[in-house]
Amino acid sequence: MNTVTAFFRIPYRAGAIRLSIGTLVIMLIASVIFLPGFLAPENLSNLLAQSTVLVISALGQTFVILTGGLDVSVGSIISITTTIMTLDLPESVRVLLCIAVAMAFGIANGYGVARLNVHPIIMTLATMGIAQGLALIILPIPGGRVPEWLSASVAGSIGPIPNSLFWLILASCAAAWILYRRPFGLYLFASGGNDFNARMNGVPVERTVIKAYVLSALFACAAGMFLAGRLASGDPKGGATFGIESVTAAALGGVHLAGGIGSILGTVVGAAILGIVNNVMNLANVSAYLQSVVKGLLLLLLVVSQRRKTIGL
Amino acid sequence: MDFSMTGTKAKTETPPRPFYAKRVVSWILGLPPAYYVLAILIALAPAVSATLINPNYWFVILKQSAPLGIAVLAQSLVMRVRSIDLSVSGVFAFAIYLASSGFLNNDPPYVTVLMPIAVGIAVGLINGILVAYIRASAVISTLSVSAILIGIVRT
Amino acid sequence: MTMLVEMVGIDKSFGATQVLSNVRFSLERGSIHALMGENGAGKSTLMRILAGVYQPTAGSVRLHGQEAAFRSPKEARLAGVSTVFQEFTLIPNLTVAENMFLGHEPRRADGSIDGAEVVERSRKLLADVFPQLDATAIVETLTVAQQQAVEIAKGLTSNADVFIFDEPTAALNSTDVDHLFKVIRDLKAKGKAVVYISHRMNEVFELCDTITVMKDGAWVKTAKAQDFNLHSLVATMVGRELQNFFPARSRETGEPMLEVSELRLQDDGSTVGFAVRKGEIIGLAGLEGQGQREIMRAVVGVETARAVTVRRRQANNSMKGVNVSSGFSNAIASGIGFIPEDRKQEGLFLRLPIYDNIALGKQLNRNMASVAWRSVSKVREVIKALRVAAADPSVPVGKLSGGNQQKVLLGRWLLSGVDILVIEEPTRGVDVGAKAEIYRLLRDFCDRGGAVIVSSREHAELIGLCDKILVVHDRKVVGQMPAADATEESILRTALVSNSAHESRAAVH
Repeated sequence: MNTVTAFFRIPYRAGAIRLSIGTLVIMLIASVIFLPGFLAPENLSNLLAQSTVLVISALGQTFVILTGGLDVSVGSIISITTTIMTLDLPESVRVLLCIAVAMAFGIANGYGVARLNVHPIIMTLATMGIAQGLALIILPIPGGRVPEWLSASVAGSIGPIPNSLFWLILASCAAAWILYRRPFGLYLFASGGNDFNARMNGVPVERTVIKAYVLSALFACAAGMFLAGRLASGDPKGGATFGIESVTAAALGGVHLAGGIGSILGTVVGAAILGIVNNVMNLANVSAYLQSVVKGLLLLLLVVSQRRKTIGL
Repeated sequence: MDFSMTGTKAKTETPPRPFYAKRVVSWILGLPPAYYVLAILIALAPAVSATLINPNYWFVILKQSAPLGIAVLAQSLVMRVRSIDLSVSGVFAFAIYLASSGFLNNDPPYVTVLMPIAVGIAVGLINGILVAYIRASAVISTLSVSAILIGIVRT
Repeated sequence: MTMLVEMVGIDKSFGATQVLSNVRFSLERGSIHALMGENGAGKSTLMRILAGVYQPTAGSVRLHGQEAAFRSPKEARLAGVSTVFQEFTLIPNLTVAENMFLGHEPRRADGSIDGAEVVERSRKLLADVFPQLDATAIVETLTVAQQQAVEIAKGLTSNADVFIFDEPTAALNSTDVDHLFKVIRDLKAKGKAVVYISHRMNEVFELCDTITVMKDGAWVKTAKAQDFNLHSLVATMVGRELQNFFPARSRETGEPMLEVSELRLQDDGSTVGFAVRKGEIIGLAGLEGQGQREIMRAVVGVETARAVTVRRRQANNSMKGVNVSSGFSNAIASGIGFIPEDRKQEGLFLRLPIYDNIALGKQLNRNMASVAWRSVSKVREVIKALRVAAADPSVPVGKLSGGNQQKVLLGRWLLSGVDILVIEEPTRGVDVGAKAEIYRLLRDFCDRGGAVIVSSREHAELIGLCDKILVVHDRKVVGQMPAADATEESILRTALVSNSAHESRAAVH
């Protein structure tokens, strides 16, 4: 497939992807050797299911990071999606409402960053707060019921392959198609590389940035639906950690936080690494709080390794 | 120090300063909108909830806002140099833990006061080095530091 | 034969400033046309109009005989005008081929970009002009010369007929320059038109067949290159009335206060060295972008040079080294101040009041824990002495006129007590009245025992103000002369002749 050859044809723009793949392989081998329960089928399907939300949200996040920004509102969009799916409305309306809400937040983010020149972190921090508040209004306590077909499409498997893997592959292919087979992808790389020069060459930078934030929100919506299906209920704070974890996953996959360098394969690998770290810590019975310490340290390490020119924000 | 210019024609004179009243008015107009919002809120609050007519209640509000106020002062220092510090919650949690968890109960009282301050200075130094020397992104590094601190506190 | 490009009656103003008036310019096919003029003559502005970056306030541009009003650089490029400015507009993380076709990529039916076609067409286009350039290389990994080649190649994709080069050889070594010339001659042979803007006379005479001279935003003369020689060309470029409002020069100067030596800006460059005496104002003259700015900034440590040694005289009359390479604060600590050209972005704090901007002078180089200096009356004194026309020291500086802003900056340094001042463009954007006052202030500063190094694009200003002039060309000091004997022509000649002297390709009549 063309997208596959695209992965290998432009390794420079993919960043330190070989490092990420190497890390993943080492981690897999180490986990298999040192943790006896790792290869058990329930653990593997658990790992897959837990990581899928992360992978999907990290894919959306990649588009935004490529422009040089960040979208911390993905967590809240995931949460609000799960709450909307438990509402007392016809099921198709619930789905459409989720998509509409996600698009609204995406457009708001994009417009704020591209046209109003608000710093992406501040803008998405604001939308994160608004979305989180709305989620709590819709569903104050975790609970409710999501449609049967949703939880069925998440659990279960077709033959030996679990459904989560299909979700994962579908999302990755969609993201790869958008990034590598559409002009939007090239413009995304250009806007991240040097937005002034891109504009001078006629690249529609503002429109590209807005689209990136909308995509991030839509992918977060998809991740939210998966989470709702997996929990079979709504959770207004269910997506809270994914805001930062999606950034960590993308950064682990070689996406430069300054923009312009990154790849879909890298993001998937990065999310896999983070998923394995999560899974291993759970297996080793590490307390949830210590886990957040470890993840915080990991992100710190990544951020320190990507030096920038400007001090501050 | 004599800066006088010798030999130029006295073309430009420093104009006299405007009237006092005019300066006061322009100062009022130049205030940030937050001042007006606060004034309106204080004026309208008793209309919303009758309990607020009692001035003791205002003191309760003040007391509750004090920690936030101090945190805002801290944050404004950082924002003055165009950066942001999201580790405030982590430092709060850690300081509260140190002061109230009881493991400092056997030490003299000044330790209970000084330890959190020392921790605050240490965290601030780490954040500062990360942002200014290593030039990491302020948001992510302070957020990570916060996550680390909260995680340590909760375990 | 119709001209390829015809620009007639071009006027251009930015706000109230008129930079071009009634300029005409025509370009023939198959010619290499040099556009020459002093600093501020308007050459770059004129070419930017042709390239679609600016729109003329009046006048018309015709391309292939048809009216062409470009509203953006992209429109101009698609119409066949390709420009290679000194700052490239390349995207660093894209490949050569992607950069060449950025903004007008070949699409397939479903709207996606045909990547294979992009590479193939780039390869074909590059084959005869830049065969050694790899179409799939990432631009960030290329050398400056190669990046310039990509910038030129961008014009090939839209089959441009007009190629504009603005100082193309500034960053190239001699092999690259030869290659560039070959490319330009090939373009000429193919019937394209090339506009060549450069201050390197030997290149102009070697390459170009026609020369147009502009002066002060107006067209002066267009003739074949062989009808000019070096001296007649310089004479045509220069010639303006000096305005007589400068204070008298110093009658005597003292011992050297600042010595600069071993200043090396580039790895292969020669070193620059000069000294400034007490009570002296020296000026760095020369054409734009020849290194004056880099030299001044390296002397105070605002920008780093490969190597620099600066020594200044102490109170006890000994010379002490100043370690400027570790930063500007060392220079301030030893009593050297710096006023940048762009006072709005690099000097003043526009939203802060006059008081804060001036009082900063007293806060420099002090311990972080020391108490801030505060004296509104002292600052008021400064404002009065400098005749800054403002109602109140609390007026934000951004509201002042250019002349007053410059005075505020000067006030800051005067308050700080430095005795050596390095100033870029002291009266840029300053009205005539304030100019005279600023010159007076600088002269007073020197008469009280200070020393000033000044750089300016207006040679008339330097001739009037300074005691000694150093002529800078191509990052070297190529000559010096007492200002009393200098004329604009002699400065220009010193700058240009030195370069072509050893090349000796100038046509001489």
